[in-house]
Amino acid sequence: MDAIVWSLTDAERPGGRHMTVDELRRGIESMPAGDYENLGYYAKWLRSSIAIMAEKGLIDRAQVERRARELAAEHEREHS
Amino acid sequence: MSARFEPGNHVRVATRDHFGHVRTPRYIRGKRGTVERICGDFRNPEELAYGRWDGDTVALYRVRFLQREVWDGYAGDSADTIDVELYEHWLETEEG
Repeated sequence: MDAIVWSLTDAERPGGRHMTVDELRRGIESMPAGDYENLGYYAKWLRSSIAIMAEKGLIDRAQVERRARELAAEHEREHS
Repeated sequence: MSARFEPGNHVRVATRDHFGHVRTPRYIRGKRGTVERICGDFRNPEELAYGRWDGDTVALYRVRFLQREVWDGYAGDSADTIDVELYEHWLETEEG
């Protein structure tokens, strides 16, 4: 997660910067209070990064959530 | 560098509300402190947080406050201090 955020916020990277750390913070502060209180440190980074990238139209949130469900189901099959 | 304050200046933090991302903690608003150092010029996080990445820079200061003036009923040493980094547009001149 650290590497993803580092890559998204790096201005020197080919392709340029996609997010500032202040946008990441804003995304964390905008969560429902329950999520803010219950999610862990990097889970907050992940949730905020997805929200900011979706806001910019760089990713499709529904697609991310569908893929996450697929991976969770795969994990479930392999470990049950 | 176009800093309005210099180390040793007495300042007061503005008390206004701010809607949206802001780096000025609520507990420090309205408190009196002393400029400890000028940290440099940085872009404003209140704009950076909403995708405006090329705005003007703002001077950032490290300001020192007495803990007993920040927290009601502070039980520690009366000389204890807290340093908070604050952008220039949140600081007002305080006489004395």
